[in-house]
Amino acid sequence: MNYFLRKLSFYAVALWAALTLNFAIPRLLPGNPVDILLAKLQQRGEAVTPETRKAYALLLGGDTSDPLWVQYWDYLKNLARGDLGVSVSYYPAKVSDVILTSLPWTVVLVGVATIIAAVLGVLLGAIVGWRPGTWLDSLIPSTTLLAAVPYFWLALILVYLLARVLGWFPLQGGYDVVLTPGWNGEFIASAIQYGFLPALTIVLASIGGWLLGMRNMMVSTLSEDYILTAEAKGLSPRKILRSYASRNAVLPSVAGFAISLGFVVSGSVITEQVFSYPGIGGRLLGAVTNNDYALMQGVFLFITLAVLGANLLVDLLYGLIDPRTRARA
Amino acid sequence: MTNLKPANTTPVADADPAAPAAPARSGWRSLLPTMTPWLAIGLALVGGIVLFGLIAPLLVGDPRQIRDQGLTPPSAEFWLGTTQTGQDVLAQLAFATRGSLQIGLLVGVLATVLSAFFGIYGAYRGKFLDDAFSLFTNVFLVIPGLPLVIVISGFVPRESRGLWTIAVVLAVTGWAASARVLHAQTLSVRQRDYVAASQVSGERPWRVIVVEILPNLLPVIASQFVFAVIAAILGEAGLSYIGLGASNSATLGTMLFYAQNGFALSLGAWWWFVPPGLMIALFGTGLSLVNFSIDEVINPKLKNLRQHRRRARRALRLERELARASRRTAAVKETDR
Amino acid sequence: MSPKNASRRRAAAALAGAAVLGLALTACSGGSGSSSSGDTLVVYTGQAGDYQVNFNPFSPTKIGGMGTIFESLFFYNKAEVRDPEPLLGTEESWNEDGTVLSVTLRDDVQWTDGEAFTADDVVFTFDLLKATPAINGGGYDGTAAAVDDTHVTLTFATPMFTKAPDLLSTPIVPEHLWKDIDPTADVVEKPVGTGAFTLKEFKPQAYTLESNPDYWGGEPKVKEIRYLSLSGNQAGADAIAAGTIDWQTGPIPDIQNTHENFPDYDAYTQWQNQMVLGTCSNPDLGCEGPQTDPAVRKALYYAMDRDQLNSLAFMDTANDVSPVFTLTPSQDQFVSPAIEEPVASPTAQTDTAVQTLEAAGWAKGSDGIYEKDGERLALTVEVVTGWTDYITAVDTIASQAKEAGIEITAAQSSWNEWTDKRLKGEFELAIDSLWQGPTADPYYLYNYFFVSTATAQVGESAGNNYARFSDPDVDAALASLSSLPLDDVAARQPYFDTIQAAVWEDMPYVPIMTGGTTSVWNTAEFTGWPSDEDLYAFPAVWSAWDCAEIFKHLEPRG
Repeated sequence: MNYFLRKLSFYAVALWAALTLNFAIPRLLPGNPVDILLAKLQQRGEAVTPETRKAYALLLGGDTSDPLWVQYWDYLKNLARGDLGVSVSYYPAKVSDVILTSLPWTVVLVGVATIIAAVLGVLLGAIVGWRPGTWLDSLIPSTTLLAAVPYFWLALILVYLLARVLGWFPLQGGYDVVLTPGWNGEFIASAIQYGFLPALTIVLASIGGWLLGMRNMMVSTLSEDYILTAEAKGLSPRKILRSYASRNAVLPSVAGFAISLGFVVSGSVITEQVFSYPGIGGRLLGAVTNNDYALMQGVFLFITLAVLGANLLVDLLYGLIDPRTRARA
Repeated sequence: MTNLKPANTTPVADADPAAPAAPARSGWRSLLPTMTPWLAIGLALVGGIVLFGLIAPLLVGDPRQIRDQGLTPPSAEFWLGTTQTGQDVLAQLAFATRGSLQIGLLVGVLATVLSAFFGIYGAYRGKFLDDAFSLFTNVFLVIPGLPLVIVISGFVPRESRGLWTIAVVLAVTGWAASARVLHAQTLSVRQRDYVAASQVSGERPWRVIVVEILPNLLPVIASQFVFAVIAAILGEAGLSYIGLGASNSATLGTMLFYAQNGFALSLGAWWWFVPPGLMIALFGTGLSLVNFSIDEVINPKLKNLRQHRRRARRALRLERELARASRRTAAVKETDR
Repeated sequence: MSPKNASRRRAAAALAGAAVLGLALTACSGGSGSSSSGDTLVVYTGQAGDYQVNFNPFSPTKIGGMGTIFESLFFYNKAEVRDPEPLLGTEESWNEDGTVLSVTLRDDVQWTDGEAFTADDVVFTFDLLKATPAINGGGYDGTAAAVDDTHVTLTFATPMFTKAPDLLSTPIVPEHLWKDIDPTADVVEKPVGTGAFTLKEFKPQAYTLESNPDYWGGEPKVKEIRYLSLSGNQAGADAIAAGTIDWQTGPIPDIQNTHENFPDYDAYTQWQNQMVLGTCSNPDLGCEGPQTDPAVRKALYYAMDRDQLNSLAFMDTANDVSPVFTLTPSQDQFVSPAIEEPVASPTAQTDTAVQTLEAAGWAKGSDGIYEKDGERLALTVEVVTGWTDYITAVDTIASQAKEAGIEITAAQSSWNEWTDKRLKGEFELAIDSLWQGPTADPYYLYNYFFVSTATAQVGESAGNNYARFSDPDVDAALASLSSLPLDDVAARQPYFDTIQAAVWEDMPYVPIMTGGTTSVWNTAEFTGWPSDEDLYAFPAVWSAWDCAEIFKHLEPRG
């Protein structure tokens, strides 16, 4: 079978398996949404009586008594229609609406930060790996230190120093809330100003991994026979670096990039929490604590699609970059 | 860099004359890492922190002991000061370090075994099995870890909850990425002639994997293990920060969580907030530094390259001393070879 | 959703969008910043994560508008025993037997779209509740009738004295707009009310109210109120430090010295929620463990050193607690004279604790922990992961209880799981807090937490009475109280005496302290905040009705 076709059908199956897991996991959670919602109301100081409970059970549909397979079938049917259901914690808002208001923030912030970190890290890694032993090698321990620092710890310290003490950046939020989000200069400038610290945190914390991975692969690749051959042929070092060494060494990094992009959405939970950033991470966290099955599933679904999509893309690219992979099929 | 520490000259000098004969006497000796300053620092960090985690809990007092004195800076009695409830930060740090190390080790081992099995074996066998394993890997890649933690903790009996649960969950949600990396690498290695040759010559699959493929993957596996350990400790810290961590046990993550909730940073209580984070960062750094050196041992090409480099530099110096125009390193390398 | 409804909503969204654009332009030209300045009051309600638009006052997921946009007939002040504050109503009275409530309405009120407010709107609102069980959280089942434009009666089958605060706190909605919408599913993106404020603009990260120039009580002095969304208490504290918000209710570092640390701000604490160790107390309903012995619960009560708890766990913001759960001191008048100790001792009474245990047949074991019939006096307290003050409190109680020969261990679990265990009765002790009713009267607390209809067998989900307390005398007293007017002090007190005696004897909820609700607010730019001298509302930014009263009282300085 054609390599690409095979990959596509494979991803279709993977998607189905992931969707099924998405269905199963939230149903294994303890507690039920009505009780959780009521408990939240109590926390807000509202009196909760048996009547209140009855009213909300009616409102939210409460515990459904349908057998599991009926629920499962409905779930798949609704997904096919693009209907992710209604969020309990934001009732009566639709899950898709809730996610769509948050998604752009996460995608832009973490996406941009990840791309910056990956490009910088791979480039630096290639250089360091190409000429090991130069002063550049000392970059590695320092970036490793940064990579080993807990995200939120680094973020909190950055916030404390750069925002609190020095006052260079805003403490929290995604933009100056008196502005209107849209394609206007003022808003974009504000979004960049507010996004700088979160992005800096992500870049600082993740660049070390890229750098190290690329450097290690580069060093390994450099001792391959074809590099020696290339040197023996008298090819210029630049050509060897670009056409022979980097091209081969970057392969695992490309695979890594797909995975990182897939985790853009879920991995941003903590960063967003520290900066009160208006992204999807906060929504996921809220959904988990509120037993908001539909919203959780919706967020799951987006993460699933992101990961599978990114991986499919990389697999297809892989087939193009590395003909050996394709040959097998 | 090379002259930072005299100790490192000995093994190199020892290795130099023996270099041509190295393949003959390889054996276990070549498995000992060459001492470099980075390795020394790395070993010192990892060793020191592991020792601290093992021994310190026996020496310090009860970390939960509450005292009326409240938040106090480091003093003779409390070397790292106290928390807002008068708990000894040093004692907490000791127990927390031990907890985090346990999680790191558990997750590192579990995740590496899982990823090696699914990544290498699948890619080696190819065909249906590979597809099945890849499918499995991909499915695990997309499970968001956070809710899974809650699911599992809801089913595990309370007595065994906490550290182990979190470790298993982190391993189960964390192996897939490195399995993919290993998978990709294996695919590449598998195409090589010597692998094909040993297959044709009728070697059993497990032997081909262990003898022909695994050595090529060892640096990757080693770095995956190191990263699994670091990722586990970081992951646990992150989960704890948002309140979903190993709730009933002391880890660096839960310690940071309490510090954060006690407004340690805002109150200027650096002695409470900085040590746990720094401990994680230093341990991670130490492991990575060790990893560089392990890479060289497992993959002799790396070591040769380093020795090459050193000789090239020596030659270069010689050339300079002879006041000759400096020439490209590559040329020197070639004459060296 | 019907197509008609959808297109209507789209049109509304488009309108809202246009309005937001227009407003933003004026805001830009005005050059205001996000930090608090001038007439804009910036508040943080503790909302974690972005807002999703919902101004439907009957929705459990509403984000605001109660009191500020939609008003009720009266405002009941939970913080002090006072007469209700007239809003849309001016007078209310019950008939003799508590079955007919007559309300006189204000006659000069307009909805913010210009229509007049009349008795028909009130009748419509109550009929809407009755016709829509999903929003009828108070269980209203009376008959509303308009006598004339300014007089309404609510008629019931049984005496409803105690329901008055709930009924009169119902947000009144305009009939001319609401007759066409589904009150369970509409999010009311453009709310029209009678209140002192109207919605100016909504964004997921913040929404802004502006003052209503035609308000019946006169336009409020505060011109704009902005509600921010942040990620939680920590973020709120940071925002106070940065001066970007004017009011939040939640902990900040070094809260006792707020004014010294942040000269623009002051902290003010009020006490409404009794923190307790809830116990699964009733063996008849299936509870198991040493805590089913009332002597053990009493011993815990005596073993606590509340001063130490306050300083270590609660940043000295907690207050005395009454063992019979009347708020101290605002509800002291309700305490039965038979209660010897109206306020729990601030220091540990370890001797009394030990005597109580020994009198009940417990004997000290070799490890210093009491035993009875081979059962060690070891208890597990359920606490929610991440609730650091409660976790610290349990740690502290554990070391105090140890002195009295009781072993306490904490078990942390997620909020969901904790709630589940508590309601199903699968716990020994749980640290939690009780809450008050719609007005300052202890009847409500007793009726929530001690009535046997609100409990269930272990394994089934209980209502509020998760301690599974069940006493026919208390049930009867509560029933009698519900048919007496709230202001008939003499007639009510004997029933309170009965209830309090039982509550003290059985102690299903072991009182710890009364938890403080601390607000930090900007006193440099705004005056008129509630104070000990004039506690006109309960000061908590998340308590919507109280908040609306406070907004009306505030005045910007200068």
